[in-house]
Amino acid sequence: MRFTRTTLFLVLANLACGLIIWWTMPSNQDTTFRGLTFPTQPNLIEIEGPAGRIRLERSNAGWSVTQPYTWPANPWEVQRLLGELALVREANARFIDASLPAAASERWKIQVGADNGQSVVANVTLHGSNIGTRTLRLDGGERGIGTAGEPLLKALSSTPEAYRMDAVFDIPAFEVRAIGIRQTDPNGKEQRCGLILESREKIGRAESAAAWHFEAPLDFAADAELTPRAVATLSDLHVARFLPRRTTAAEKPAMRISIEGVNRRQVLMIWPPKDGLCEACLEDNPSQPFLLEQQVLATWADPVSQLRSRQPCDFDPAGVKGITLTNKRDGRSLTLHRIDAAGATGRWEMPVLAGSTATRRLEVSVGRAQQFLRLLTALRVSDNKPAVIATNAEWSKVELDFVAGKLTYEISPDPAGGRIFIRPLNGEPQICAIEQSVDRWISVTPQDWRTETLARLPAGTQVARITLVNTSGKNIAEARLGTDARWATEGEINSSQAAQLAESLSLVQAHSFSSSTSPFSKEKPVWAFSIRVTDRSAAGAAGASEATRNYRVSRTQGPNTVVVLDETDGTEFVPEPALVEALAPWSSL
Amino acid sequence: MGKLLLKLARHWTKIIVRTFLCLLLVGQLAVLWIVSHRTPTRLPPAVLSAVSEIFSGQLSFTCREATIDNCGRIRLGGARLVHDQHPGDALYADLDFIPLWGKLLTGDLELQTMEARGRGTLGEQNDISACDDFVVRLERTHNTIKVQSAARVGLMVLRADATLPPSPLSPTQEDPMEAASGLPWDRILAANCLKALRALEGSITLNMHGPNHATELLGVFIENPTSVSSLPLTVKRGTIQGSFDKTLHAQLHLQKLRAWNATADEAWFFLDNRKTIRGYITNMQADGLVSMDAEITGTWHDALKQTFALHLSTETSWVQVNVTTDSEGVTIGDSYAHIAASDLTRLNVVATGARNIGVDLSGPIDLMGAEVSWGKTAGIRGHGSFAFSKLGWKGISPSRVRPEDGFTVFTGDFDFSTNKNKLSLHRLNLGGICGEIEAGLQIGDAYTIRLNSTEGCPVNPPFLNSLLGDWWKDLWSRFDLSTTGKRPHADVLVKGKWGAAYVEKVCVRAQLENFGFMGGRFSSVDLWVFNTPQNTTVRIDSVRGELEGRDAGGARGMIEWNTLKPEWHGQPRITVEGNVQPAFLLRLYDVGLANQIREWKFPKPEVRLALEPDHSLQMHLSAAEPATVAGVRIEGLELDLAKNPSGTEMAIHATGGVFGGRTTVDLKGDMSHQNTLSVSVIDWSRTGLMNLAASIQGRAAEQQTSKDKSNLMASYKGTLDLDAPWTTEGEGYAVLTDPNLKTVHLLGGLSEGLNALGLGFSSYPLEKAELSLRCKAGIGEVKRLDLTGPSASLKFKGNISLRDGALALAGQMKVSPSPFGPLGLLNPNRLIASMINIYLGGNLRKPQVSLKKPTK
Repeated sequence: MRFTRTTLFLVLANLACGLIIWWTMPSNQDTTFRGLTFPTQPNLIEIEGPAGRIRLERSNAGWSVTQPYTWPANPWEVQRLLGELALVREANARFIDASLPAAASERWKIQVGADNGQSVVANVTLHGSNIGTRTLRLDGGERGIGTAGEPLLKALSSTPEAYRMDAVFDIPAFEVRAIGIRQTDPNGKEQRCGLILESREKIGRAESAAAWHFEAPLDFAADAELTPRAVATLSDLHVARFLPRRTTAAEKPAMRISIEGVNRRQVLMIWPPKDGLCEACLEDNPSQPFLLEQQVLATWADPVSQLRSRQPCDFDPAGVKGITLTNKRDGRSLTLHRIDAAGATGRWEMPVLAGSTATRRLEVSVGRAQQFLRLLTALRVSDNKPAVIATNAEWSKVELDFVAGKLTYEISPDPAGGRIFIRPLNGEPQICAIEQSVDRWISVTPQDWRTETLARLPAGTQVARITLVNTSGKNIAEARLGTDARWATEGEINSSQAAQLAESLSLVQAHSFSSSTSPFSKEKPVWAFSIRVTDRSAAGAAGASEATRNYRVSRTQGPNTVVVLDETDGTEFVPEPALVEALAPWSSL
Repeated sequence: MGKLLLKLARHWTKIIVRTFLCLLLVGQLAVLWIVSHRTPTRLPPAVLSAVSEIFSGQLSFTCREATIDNCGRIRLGGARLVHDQHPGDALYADLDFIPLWGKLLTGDLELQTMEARGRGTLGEQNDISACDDFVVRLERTHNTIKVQSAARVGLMVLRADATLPPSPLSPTQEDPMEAASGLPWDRILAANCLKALRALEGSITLNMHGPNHATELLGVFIENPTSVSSLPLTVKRGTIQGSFDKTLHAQLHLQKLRAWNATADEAWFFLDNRKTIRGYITNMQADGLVSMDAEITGTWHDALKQTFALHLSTETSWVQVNVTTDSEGVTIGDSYAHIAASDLTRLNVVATGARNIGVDLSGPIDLMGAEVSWGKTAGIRGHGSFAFSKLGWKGISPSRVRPEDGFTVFTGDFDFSTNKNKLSLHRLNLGGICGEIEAGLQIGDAYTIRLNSTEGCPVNPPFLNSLLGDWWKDLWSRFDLSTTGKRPHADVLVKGKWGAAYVEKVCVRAQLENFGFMGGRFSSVDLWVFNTPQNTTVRIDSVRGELEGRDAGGARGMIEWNTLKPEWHGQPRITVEGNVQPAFLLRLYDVGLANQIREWKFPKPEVRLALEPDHSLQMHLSAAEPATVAGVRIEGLELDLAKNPSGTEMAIHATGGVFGGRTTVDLKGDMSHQNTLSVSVIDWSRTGLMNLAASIQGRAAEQQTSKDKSNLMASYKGTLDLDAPWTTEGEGYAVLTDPNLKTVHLLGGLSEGLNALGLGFSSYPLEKAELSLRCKAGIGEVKRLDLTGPSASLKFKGNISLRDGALALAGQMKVSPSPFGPLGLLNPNRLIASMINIYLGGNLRKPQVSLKKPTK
């Protein structure tokens, strides 16, 4: 190829330009940002200023002051300093040049070092202005200059003592896994108590979330609410006042509290209190004593009584498969069985009579069963003192069956009212404040557990015909639902009465089953008439179908009381007010 | 051809090379021009347009100038990024960045370094400074990007330092603007967060580093002393700490909180790997409530849905609720509480509200299984159960229901819905009183209360006083249950409207035993009470009275008060019917009158009594079995008694069989001095008359023999002073027919002897007596007393002293002519008889017959 002169000129010109660019390009390419910037992950900060030299170093445990003393650093001050350093601005040279000169006593030297060996040193001087504002000028030499305002001035003006952390423990609350307490009782005997956070398999609980347990002196559950709070408060323990450094060995402490975190452990040694303050020190820094308020340690002086679980019945109600209630007086028992899948809305059944083994079963009120279980789990010990119970106290028994295992509790109401005693089988009784009578719940009378809903028409089914027959078999009234959804009536009934009666009969609910809940229990019902109800289901694949129900209705016993007999199964009940009102025109004849 | 092609190729190659060299030279000259300048060089507007395109969408980007300096750093000076819909939400910044020029030539924008510094505002009209100062620095090293950011909001400094893999900085791989546009911009939340930050002084630092993005969070802050925060929440000091290194843990510790009027000493919040938040707040104080602790455990699913359990406790109370918030609303479910009323009353709102609606807050209250949900469409709904032993409303309290029981509990279920405006309290058990309450939730809404006693748990009626009103108190005060203490069994229906002065309808059926009513004692009663504001009716289905310990019979009846009838003056109208003793019934009306007839015996009476509001009385008595009145046995007694409203006049009409005769008595008057008496007797026998006299005199009656064929008919009509009956004034008439009335022996003993020998010519039987009497001034003037027989008659006239029964009658005998012809006229007896005057003296008890006029 033959280069023309033009081409050669262009090549030479490009080369010349390239060389000139190379030559004139600024060499400070390593200065990536304008002005002065400090490392993002510093591990060393050293400030030399009017207050002296303060050296802060970062380790795995966090920041510490290493000069003029050795102690964990106050994160408040460290973070404030780092935050302000991050916000150092690019200097406005003209502004600073125009500002008032710095005084000799208002100069600092700050050095920020990082893990990678990067170190930034800046000389800080304070400048004022004619309008009274004050500006810091940070001169980083080759790294440029920067400016900052009052906040950094505040941070630099902090005294070395301000950098001393007053929190006793470095381990944050969420990291605490175990707590140990060793203390000497008045007899000189050493008492040990240990708490540990761990997951354990538990009867009645499908999930085993980590929870606090006492390991010593005995193995039992710690209170799920109070213990984490107490642990958090302990981990956040603050020094009331620092004492001069010790030069001699201290006496044996009265109490040692150890906190274990992840791969680290701190032990606090505490001496007997004086004037509400306890002298204490950390085991790994015994020469630096400090004072703690005795009040904040009160929980840990007697952790067993303070932090023992206050939930006597700790189980998941949705996991209960069966409930067996045993009457305290006559020993009769009643067992309720869940007959479908576990969960909050299961169906339950029970025998017709307490202890009966007959095949016929009654359906249990789901709401009542669930409420009973929820009530048990909601019980809280109101008084952790030992319960004083009469020797002749009668104990009702509640047995709860789970897929794996069984929980048994014994319950006795306080005759004075307002509380109950509850204990796990043959265990130590605890006191729970509760207003309601336990007898209401631990009833072995099936009627008290029976579902109130005796007839509920499914969707698509409606009452199509109602016939009222008097005791001599003569029709009193009859109503038929027409295709136009209107009621055609004969006899002593009008269409609005028929509609009201039909609506009430589409959901028949008992107000009570037992005659003992009737005000006139000694009266035998005087039957006034019978109702024959024909329910018609909507035409589907199998076509329309009809079913009949027969009820016998008594004369009104009271404004709210009519006895109804379901002739299908012989159930005698007082219906809900809506049905009582609907029946009133005939029952009060 | 080949040469031509080769020549063409050379020619084009030369052109291309020269063009490239020319362009390169131009470029190098431009660079040289830029490098040689110490001041930055302004970039053409096309560069700004290109940058603006990046932010197009929800944001608008404008820039005052774009320059490039001799280090290859591009500066976007005076850049402004504004939210399109909220022009006040803006970022003002100067942006410096150095792109990777090599990548840029290939079309990829990747940054070598970037620094943004500026401020932000948030506001519609007057820009509110959201962020006073911020700086973001990015720096690419070999395989990482270091991010350093800091922002100052008031006195709070937020820092985030991170070492990241390079990918996030590449706009081609991940468009941060696109990602940002998908996030909902909640200005209210952002404004409140800024307000919260401005209320603090301190710093929060986030460090992220390492291949697993291990993160550390540390924040320390105190309350900003210069802040005048409009937020209701203030914090004195706090720390936040967190770490993420395979597992996430974070904690927030706040001290001395204040939210609205509530304060707390400390609050701890923990967040773990499972997004579970657990918090504790200690020593809360709110509106007078003190020493309250709270525990919160929950999960933050997303911005809309959170679930958490809240447990509040004081020394005497605890509340445990599960709260779920989602797009539909808030549900507080599965709640259990044991709340001391003393804690509730410390809350002024509750205390005032309770006072206004008449709730007496005391003792603890248990809530079980309570669920309250709030939804945008469903309103507020709730249901659950409650139990308490001290709390009361309108006097309905456990201590009223069972005053004798130290611990009575009210239990029940509640259900309410604001949309349906319905409150339902059902399965109520008020210390044995069961019931239900259905009501609206507003003042003026209707309510229905149903209560009934249960076996062994009768009603203590005063506990309904406040609910039912004065009429009930008045009514019930008439019943005296004090002696036996037996309370009634009752079924109660009350209908009314909240806030109304009176209930609209009350229906009560009650059964009482052993009680007093209007002075009478009753062994049992079954009654219905119907009340409306205008009318109160007590229907007595059956009542059994007691008189001096004995069964006084049973009755049914009605007591009615009617305010629509002013003439009733609030007094009841009482009607009673049954087989109750009249003395017992009259005792309800007039004890004196009852005492008067107390000794009268009515074995099986049928009584109808009507006591009118004007105090007039009507009583009808019929005795199926013989009654004993004033010692007189009366068969088939029919008694009507009427008393006028003022009680000054009474009318008695009585009929009955007295000793075989029929007697009718009409007595009318004041039953003292001024009475009118009308007596008539029919078919009395002489023996009966004697027995009547014997009964009055207290002697034993004798049996009526078959020989006694006498018949007495009599009547008397006159006035009567019951205190001085002898002063009666009136006229009477009596006829006695008796075949054996009397035989007059004209010759005395001789006639009797002759009569015994069958010679009865001197004896004259008398078979009929007729008396016509006029009484006046204590004297019964016998106008005519004729004793007649088949052949003779005796006619008397005279007086009878009514005071002492003294007789002063004189008469003469007449012998009838013989029916056997003229000889009969010659009968000497006629002569003898005409010569004899007969005088009756003595008194009624012991009459004396003489032929001489008795001397006085």
